[in-house]
Amino acid sequence: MPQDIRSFFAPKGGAAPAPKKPAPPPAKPAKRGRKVVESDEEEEEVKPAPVKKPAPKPTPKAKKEEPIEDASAYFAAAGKNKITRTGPVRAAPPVKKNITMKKLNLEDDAKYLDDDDEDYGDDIFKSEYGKAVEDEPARKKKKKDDDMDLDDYKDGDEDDDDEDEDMDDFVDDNDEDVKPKGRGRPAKASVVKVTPKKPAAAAAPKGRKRKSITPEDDDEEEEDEQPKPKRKATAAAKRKTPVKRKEVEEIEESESIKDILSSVPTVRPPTPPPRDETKKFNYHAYKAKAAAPPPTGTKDIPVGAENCLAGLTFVFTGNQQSITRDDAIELVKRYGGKVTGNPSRKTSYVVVGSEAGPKKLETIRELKLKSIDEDGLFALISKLPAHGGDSTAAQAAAKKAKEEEKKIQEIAREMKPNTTVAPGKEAKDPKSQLWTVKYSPSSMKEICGNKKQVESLQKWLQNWPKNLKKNFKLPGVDGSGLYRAVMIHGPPGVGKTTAAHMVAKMEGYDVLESNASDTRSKKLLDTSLKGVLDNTSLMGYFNTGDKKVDPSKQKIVLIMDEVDGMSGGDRGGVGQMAAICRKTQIPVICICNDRRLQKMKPFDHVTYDLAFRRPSAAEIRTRMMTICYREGLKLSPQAIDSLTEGSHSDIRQIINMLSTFGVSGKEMSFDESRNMATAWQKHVVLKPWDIAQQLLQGHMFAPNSKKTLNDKIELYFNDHEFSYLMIQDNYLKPHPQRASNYSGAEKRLKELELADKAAESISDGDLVDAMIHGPQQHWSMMPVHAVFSTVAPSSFMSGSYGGGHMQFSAWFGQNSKQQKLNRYVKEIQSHMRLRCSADRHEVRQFYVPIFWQMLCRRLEREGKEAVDDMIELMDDYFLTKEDYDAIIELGVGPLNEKSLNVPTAAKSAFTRAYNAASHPMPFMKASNVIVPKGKAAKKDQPDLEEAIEEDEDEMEMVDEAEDAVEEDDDVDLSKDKYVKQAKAKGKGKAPAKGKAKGKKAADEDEDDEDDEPVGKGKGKGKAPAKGKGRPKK
Amino acid sequence: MNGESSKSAAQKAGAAADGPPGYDLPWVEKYRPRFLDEIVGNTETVERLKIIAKDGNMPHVIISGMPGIGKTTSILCLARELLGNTYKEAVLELNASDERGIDVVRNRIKGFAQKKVTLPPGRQKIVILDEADSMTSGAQQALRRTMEIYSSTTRFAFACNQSNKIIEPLQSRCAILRYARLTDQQLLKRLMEICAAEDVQYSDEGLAALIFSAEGDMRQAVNNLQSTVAGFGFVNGDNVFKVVDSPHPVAVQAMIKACYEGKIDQALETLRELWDKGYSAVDLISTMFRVTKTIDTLSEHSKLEFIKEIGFTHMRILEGVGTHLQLQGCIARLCRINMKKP
Repeated sequence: MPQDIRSFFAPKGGAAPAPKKPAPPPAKPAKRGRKVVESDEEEEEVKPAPVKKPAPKPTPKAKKEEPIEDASAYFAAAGKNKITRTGPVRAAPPVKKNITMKKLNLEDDAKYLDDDDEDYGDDIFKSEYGKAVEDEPARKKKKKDDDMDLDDYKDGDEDDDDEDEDMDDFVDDNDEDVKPKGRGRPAKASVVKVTPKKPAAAAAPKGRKRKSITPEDDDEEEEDEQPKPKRKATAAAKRKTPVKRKEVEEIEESESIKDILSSVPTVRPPTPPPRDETKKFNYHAYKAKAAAPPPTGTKDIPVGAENCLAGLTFVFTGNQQSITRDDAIELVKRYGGKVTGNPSRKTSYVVVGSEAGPKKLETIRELKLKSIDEDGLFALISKLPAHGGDSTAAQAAAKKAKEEEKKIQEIAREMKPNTTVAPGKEAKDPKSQLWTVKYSPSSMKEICGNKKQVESLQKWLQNWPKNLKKNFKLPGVDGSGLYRAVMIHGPPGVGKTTAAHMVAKMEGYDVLESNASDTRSKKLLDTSLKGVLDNTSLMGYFNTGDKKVDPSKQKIVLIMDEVDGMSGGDRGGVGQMAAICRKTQIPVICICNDRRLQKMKPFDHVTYDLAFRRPSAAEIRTRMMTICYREGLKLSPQAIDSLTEGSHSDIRQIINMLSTFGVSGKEMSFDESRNMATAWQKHVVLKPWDIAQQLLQGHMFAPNSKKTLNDKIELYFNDHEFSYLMIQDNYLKPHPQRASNYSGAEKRLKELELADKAAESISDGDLVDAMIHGPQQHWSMMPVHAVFSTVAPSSFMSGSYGGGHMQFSAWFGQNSKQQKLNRYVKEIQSHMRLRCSADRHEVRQFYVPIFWQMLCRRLEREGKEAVDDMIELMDDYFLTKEDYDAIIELGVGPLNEKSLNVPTAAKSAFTRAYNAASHPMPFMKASNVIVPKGKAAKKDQPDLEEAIEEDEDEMEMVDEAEDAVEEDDDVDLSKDKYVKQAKAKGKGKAPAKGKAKGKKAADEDEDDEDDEPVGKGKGKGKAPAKGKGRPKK
Repeated sequence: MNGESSKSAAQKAGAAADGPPGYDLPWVEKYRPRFLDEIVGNTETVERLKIIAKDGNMPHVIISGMPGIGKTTSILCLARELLGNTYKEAVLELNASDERGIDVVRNRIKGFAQKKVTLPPGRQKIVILDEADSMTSGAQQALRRTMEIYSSTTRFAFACNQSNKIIEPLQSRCAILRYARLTDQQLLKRLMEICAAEDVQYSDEGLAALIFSAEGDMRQAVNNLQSTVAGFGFVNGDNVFKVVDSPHPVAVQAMIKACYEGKIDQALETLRELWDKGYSAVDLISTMFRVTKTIDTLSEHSKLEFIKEIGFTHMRILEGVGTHLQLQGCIARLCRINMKKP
C-alpha cells in the first residue's frame, strides 16, 4: 500500500510540488481507508490529491457531518469525517487505503457533483452552505443510517456530500493549490482526468465554486469553470463509466493514462468480479461464432444482495440464452441497475446475446464498453455486495439517492402549506379528495416534465395582448406570435389540462372551459361562443364602481378540452372551432390527445402546436417520492420507476396507483410495484402495425418466450381484418430465427423452406377466410383463421427485423387495382357486344392483346398514318377513347404499358382526330341521357371533390372506400362521356382524362398538355374531367 | 318425473328461505353477495375495497375480468356499504340495457354529478356504469372532464369484460382492478354453502364436474348447479355433464395426447366413446381445437401442426361432412405427424 501511495505522490509531487497550500485551516480528516479502488480514474484523481494533502486529517471514516456548513464548522464537525470540503487540505499521506478512498471519493464526488448540479443546481449548495445548520438534523438522520457499512458510507457521502464534497474540495483545492504554483501542471492533471473519465474533473470545478476557498487567481477559476460545462455534460456519462473495479478497465485505463496506471497496480479492487475477462472473452467468442445457437438453457437466476447493481447501466442486445430480455431487464432493475436502449459512454455493461444488433456491436467496440453475457450478469448479481459494494458507481448512485431523498423531504415540507391552505379555502376535507386533485401542481415548479412547453405556453399567453394589437403579424421569437390559439397535444395523464389551467391562472386570466361533456356542435359553438369571444370577464365588469378594475380580471381565456372528443352529435364542431381559432379576440387553448388524427386537420396552420411528451422516469420520480413521503408510503425509487414504466409515464395513473395502494399498505417492494404496474397496464387495442411488429419482429416466438399460443391468437383478434394482411405483406422481411443456426447456402435454403411453409400457411388461411366471408359465414372458424393466416406464418418467419418499417398491406391497393381492371374489361366487352359474342375472359385473353397490337403498337410504329385506321377499327367495335386507354393499361408481358412509347405528336394527332369526329355508340344509359350535360358536370363536381378530399386524407386505410368512390366516378364519367358524346366531339377529352387513374395520371397529363393547344372545346371538357381524374389517383 | 318434483321442491325451499314470497329468484340472484365480506375470490382486491368502504374517499375504479367473477357484485356491495341508506339518491346505475349515448352522458350523468346530495364526509355520489365496454368512445370521451371536475362530489365505477374497450384517458383516471378467475376451492366453498342452504343432494364428483365445467365462472357454476338440481335432483358427475353437454375436455385431452404419442388405437377408442355419447362432430372438433390450443405438454410447434390438421378437418365438417370417419381421419393424420418425425 505505501508503495502505491508513494508512487502516487512521487509522480504528482514532482508534478505539483506546491500542493500543500492548504489555505483552509481545517485539518483534513484522514480519509477512511476502507476501499482500495484501483480504478484508473481514481488514480488520476488521487495523484493530485496526494500532492495536496498537506493537512493530514484524522482518518475519520465517518462521514457524518455534512461538509456544507462553514468550512470551519464543517471541519470541526468533520473532524470525524475524513472529508473537509472547503478545506483544501486533504488528508495528506494517509494510508493507502485513504488514498484509494479518496480516489473513490473523487470519482464519486465528481459524479455527485454532476448529479447535484443537474438535479438541484446551485440551490442545493447554497442551501447547504447557508443552511447547513438547518439541514443538519435531516442529515444526521441520514448519517446514522450511513454509519453502518460501506454502503452506509456511500450513503453518507451521498447524503451529506461530505466525502464527495470533500473529495471535490480536495480536487479543487488541489487544482487551486497546484495552480498557483504551477498551473500548467494542475491544468494538465485536470485535463487528464477529464479526458479519461472526467469525473474528478467535474467534481473539481464544482468544489471550487461552492467553497470558493483559496481563490487563487481569477484566471484559474475561469479556467476551471470553463472545463466545468463539459464536465457537467459528461457528468452523467461519468457516473456510469466510473465503474472501474474490473481489471479490464484498469487495463484500458492504463493505456490511456500510463503514468497513473503504473502507479496504480498496487491498488487492487476490493471486490473484483472475475467476469471482466471472461466477459470479454465471451464477447469475442460470440463474434467469432457469428450466430450462436439459441438454445433454451435453463439457468438458475441468482439471488443477489439488495440494490447490488446500484449505479450500473446496462444495455441488452440480442437474445439471451436462458432468460428473456424482458425478464433480464426486470432483473437488473430489481437490483437497482439501470437499463438503457442503446449503448453509450455511460453504459457500464453491454449484455450481449445471440443475434445482437450490429449497430450496437459497433458502438460497443468504438466506446470500448465492457460486454458480458448473461452468465456475467448473473455473476455480477450474485457477487456484488448490497448497494453495489464500494464501487464508485454504486456510491454515486447511493449518494444521489440520498440527495434525492433529502430534496424530496424538503419539497414535501414546502408542499404542506399549500395543501393545507387550499382545503381551508375550499372548505373541503383533503381526506375526501382524490390524490390526483390533492397533489395537482399549483406552481410551475411542480409540473413534471414538459417544462419547455409550459414555458412557451406561458410566453404565448403573455404576449397575446401585444400580438393582438399587431394583429398577429409578427411571428416573434418562437413563431408563436402568429397564432391566436394554441393546440396542446399529448398522451393522457401528462398534465395538459393542468398546465393550461395553471398558466391561465398565473397570467391572471379567467378560464372558460368547454370539454367533451358539453355539446359542441357547429351551431352551438357558433351561438354560444360568438358572444363570448369579445366579452370581458364579469369579475372585472362588476367591479367598476368603487374599486379600480383589476386589469387581470378582465381577461378571459377559452380552454377547449378534448377537442378530439368531438364526436357524434358535435357535427361540424371541429371545423367551427378552427374557424373560431382564426378570428378569436380572446386567447384560445385547445387540448387534444392525438394531433395527427384526420379530424384534427382543420387546425393545421391555425394553431400554435405544443406537443407534450411523456415525462421521463427521473422527472416523475422526485414528485412521486414527495407524494409518498407526504402520505407516509415507503417506496424505493426502483419501485416508482417500475410504476412509471408500467404506466408509460402517465403521472395521473401513477398517483392513482399510489393512492389505491396507500389504502392498504405502507411499503411497496419492487415486485409489488411490478405486479401492480402489470395489473394496471392500460389495455389498448393494438394497431395493425404493432400487431405485425410484435409477431414478426419481437421475441414472441423466441424459445424462452412466455407468450402462450392464446396470447398470440389474441393479437390477431386485436384487429382481425388487418392483422393477417399485415403479416402477409411483411412476412418475408425478418431474418427467421429458426434459420439462424445455419450459415451460408444452407441458411438460405432453410430460409426458403421456412418462407415456403409460411406462404403455404397463409394460403391455407385464405381458404379458411373464404369460409368465413363466404356465403356460409362460418365465423366459428375465426380462431383457425387466426392460426393459419397469422400465428403460424409468424412462427416460421419471426426473427430480427432488418430495420425497415412494417409496410402497410399492399393488398388494398392491389385489390382496388384489380377491380378497376376488371371494370375496364367489362366495359370493353359491353361495348363490343354488338360485334362479337366473346365473354369477359375471352375478351381479356384474345381480343385485348390484338387490339393492343393493332391500336397502341401501331400508333407507336406508324405514327399519324395509323390514326384513321385506328379510329375506324375502334368505331367498328364501338370502342371509345376511354377503352383505348384501358386497353393500354390492360397490356401485360411484352405488351406492357411501359414498353409502349408513342410519340407525343402521334398521340395528340390521334386525340385530335378522334375528337374531331363523332363516333357510334352501342347504347346509352337512360339515366345518363336525362341529365343535362352542363348541369351534370357541375353537380357532380362538388360531390367528387368532397369524396376526393376524404380519400386523400384517410390514407391507405380508406382503400375500400376509395374503391367505392372510384366506382362512383366511373358512373359519373360514363355519364359525362355519354352526355358529351351524344352532344359533340369536343368532349372526347373528358373521358380520356377521367381515365387518368393511378399511375397513368402522369402520362395522361402529358396527353392533356398536348391536347390543350388543340382547341377550345377543351375548356369545358377539361374541367369536369379533371375533377374526376383526381379521385383515381 | 323425479326431476320435476325435486325441482319444485328446491324452488319452494328457496322461496321459503330467502326470496320474497310469491315468486322465485334464480339462485344466482338469490345468493348474490350483499356485502363485501361475502364476496368470494380476489381476496386482495376485495380487502382493499373493504378498506375503501370503511374509510370512504373511493377512487374512480375500473373493474375488469371474465364474466361471473363478481365485478358488478363488488361494485354494488361497495356502493351499498359506502352509502347505506342514501343509496337510492346517491347512486346512478346504468348498464348496457340503458341508453348510454353521448347525450345521456352529457345530460343525465352530468346532471347527476351536479346534483347536491347530503352525504357524510368522505362519501361521494357514485355513478356505476356496468358493462362499460359497450359504451361508445364518444360517450366515454364525454366522461373525461366530468370525472375530474366533479370528483369532489361524484365518483365513477366501471365494470367491464375487456378493459381495452375503455379509452385510455379514462383508464388513466381510474384505479384499475383486474379480477382473476375464481379458484376451484373458492367455487367449491360457495357451492357447498348453496347446497347446504338449498338442501341439495350431491356427490363430490358432481361438484368437481360443476367446478370443472365452470372454469372459474361462479355464475355459470351456480346456474349449472340449479339446472342439474332442477333436471335430475341429484348432483353427480354424469348428471352435470348431461346438463353442461359438451365433450369432456379431459377425454379430448387424453385423445390428443395419445395422438401425440402415436398411440392411434387408444386415440380412436376415446373418439369412439365420445362419438357414442352423441356429441356432434362440430362440437368434438371445436373442443379438440380449444384443448390443443391450451394443452401444456405439446411444444408450440407441434401445437401449430396439430391445429393445422384440426382446422382443415373443421372446415370439412362445416362443409357438411361431419361423419365419424372424418374425425377418425383427422386422428390418423394427427398421429402420423409425430410418426414421421423420428
